[in-house]
Amino acid sequence: MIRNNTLAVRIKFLLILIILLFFAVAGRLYIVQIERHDELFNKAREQYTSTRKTSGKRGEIYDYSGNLLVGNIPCSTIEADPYACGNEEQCRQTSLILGKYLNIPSEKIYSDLIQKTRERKRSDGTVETVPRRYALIARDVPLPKSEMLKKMLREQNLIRGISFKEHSQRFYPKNELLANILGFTNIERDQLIAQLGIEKFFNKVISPSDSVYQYERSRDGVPLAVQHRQSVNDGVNIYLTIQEPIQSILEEELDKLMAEWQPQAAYAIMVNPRNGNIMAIAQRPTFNPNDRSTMTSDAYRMRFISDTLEPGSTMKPISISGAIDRHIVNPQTMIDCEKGIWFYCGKSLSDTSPHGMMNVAGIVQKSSNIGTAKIALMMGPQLLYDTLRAFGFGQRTGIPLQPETIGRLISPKNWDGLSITRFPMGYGVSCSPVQLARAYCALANGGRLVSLRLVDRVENPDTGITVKYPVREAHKIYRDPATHRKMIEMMKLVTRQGGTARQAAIPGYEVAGKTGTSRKWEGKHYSNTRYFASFAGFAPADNPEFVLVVIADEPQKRHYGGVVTGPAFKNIAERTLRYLNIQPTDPHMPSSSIRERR
Amino acid sequence: MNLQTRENHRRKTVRSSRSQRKAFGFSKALLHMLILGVILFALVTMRISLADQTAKDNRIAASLKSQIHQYERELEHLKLKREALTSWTHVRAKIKQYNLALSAPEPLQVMQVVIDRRSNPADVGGASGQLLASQTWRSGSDTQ
Repeated sequence: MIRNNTLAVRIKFLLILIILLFFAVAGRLYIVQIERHDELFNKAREQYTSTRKTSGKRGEIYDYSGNLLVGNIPCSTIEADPYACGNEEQCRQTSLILGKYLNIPSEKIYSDLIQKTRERKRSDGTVETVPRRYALIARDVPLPKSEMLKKMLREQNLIRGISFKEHSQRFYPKNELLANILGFTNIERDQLIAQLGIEKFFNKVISPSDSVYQYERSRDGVPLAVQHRQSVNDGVNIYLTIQEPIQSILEEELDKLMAEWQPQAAYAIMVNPRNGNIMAIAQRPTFNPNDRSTMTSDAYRMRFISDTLEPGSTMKPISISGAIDRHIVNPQTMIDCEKGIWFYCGKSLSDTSPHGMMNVAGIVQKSSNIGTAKIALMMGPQLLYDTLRAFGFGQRTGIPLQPETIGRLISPKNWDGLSITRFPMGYGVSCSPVQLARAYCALANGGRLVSLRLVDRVENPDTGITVKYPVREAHKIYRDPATHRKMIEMMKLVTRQGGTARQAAIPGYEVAGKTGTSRKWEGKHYSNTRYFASFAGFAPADNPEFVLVVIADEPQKRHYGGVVTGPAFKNIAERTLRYLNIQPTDPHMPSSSIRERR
Repeated sequence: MNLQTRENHRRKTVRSSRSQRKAFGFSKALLHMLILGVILFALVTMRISLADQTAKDNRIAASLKSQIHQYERELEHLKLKREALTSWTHVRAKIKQYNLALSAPEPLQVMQVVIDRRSNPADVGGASGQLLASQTWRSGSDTQ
């Protein structure tokens, strides 16, 4: 009985002990797995995760219709941890594979991988040997190649110690197309620095935010999976007013001009006169932003906004429009053009060909310097200055690029006696090619000075929200609405029989424009051998779809605007009209022109 | 003696029934505690397995995210490649390379079709929607 009781007590005691133990284990499990779960889980995760800093995607740049002009091409930087790269045989095999596909001598890679230790100087001056954990194999390896290498190394069990650091590189899929406007970026100390063009001007908004993310890695350090990624903001996408097909036409024809006349530089700008949208813009020489060897300062400088030229005769319609608008002259007013030579203030002024009495329309058509100077004298300095100023000379255009010149337009109080005869024909006044294009927009659209637009809209790629850049209200120039029609009719004559730019005429379409041939200023006097040849105009003349300015800086062989830039104007304008599907005014003309060409 | 024995027996019986009741009560309590313990154990195990499952799912999600990231990179690469191949410079080079006799159409050879999608196909119960097409032949369509 006593024995039984003792046994029962013992059993009970054991049972209680087991239960207590059970509860203790359960309690501990609760504490470990539930109460301290996050803390211990994070502690464990720290053992097999790494943290890496990355950034979002830099904003892309598109043309008006959404054709990509600047993007981010994914690529990898291949790095090695020589200490983890295995034995001599493994290093040899790894270097053979990498060397073969990366076009790097495999011996060089091998010597990098086999060097497992390095010497480090301590603060007390003694030298210690430490494991060597970093070696750069190759930068900016394209995605297909890096993926292939990763796969090959993994298959052959050689991936240990080799890492593929993902990043993006700025890529310009259209190469030279619009290179000067788009600009480019450089990498300095792993930081992307915008250097020029849209890339620089909009750098703040197209730059992405940084992000820190964690990834699980195996014992070898090979990343397994991305564990946690902080949200990042991609840079905004920019949509330009440029139309890629038209830009291609313009650049192709500009290349032809360069090949034929071999000028030092050439520019072409096409603008929609109704809203100031720049449809295409190019300069030569240019560069390929994907190939840094083509980048010379002459090639990448944005000459069309930073350089100035004396516009020459392309200024005449602008000056004369002031006189027409104030009813000082009308297209039929007869002016004595002095048979080609005229003395004023002790200096002679001549015309290319002698003319006697000629009406104002004829002065524009034949580009008479004497006639224009006499009209300017009738206007007086202040009105001439006000007219040129109203057309935007001496002011910035509003184009979102830097640095932009304001050009040179001197105030009348600083003019000398000759200024009033030289400024209206484009000497002594200087402007950028973009300013000239803007002034011609006003001639084309009925006398409204539009602000030039290069960016149409920006889009937030994260939210899809698009914000359109507003079209700024145009400043009205003409007082008399009839001035516009009178000016158009006079400028149409330039490309007709007897005009200075028959080469700029487009069969089937009316073209209004003006040639310009200006001698270059050489510090003390004007050159007799170096010229700017230009043609500025718009088509169709009565309802212009675009204003086009073509300029050649120091063309060889010939120097007249009509001869050098007229044909380029015609080719660009004709192809653009066809692309825009603008029907000809005279429907039978294009066919005949084709027959002529054949 | 017998009486004593009888009394003892009675006392013993009373004592045994008391201890039986006690033992029964204890067993009952023990059983309850055991059941409670099993339930608690089951709950804790369930919680652990859920946490484990969550961790596994997170790992799969991370792996999928990584895959998506990889696909996005490939897509980006293909997009840029397509843009480079469709650029006029490239097309022009190919026209020249293959000596293709292509020329731009005359304006009168171009027919402009304006498609006006007046109603959304989804709004008309899966029907193809109403497409209004107007053909614009400007001044003579019989040229060349």
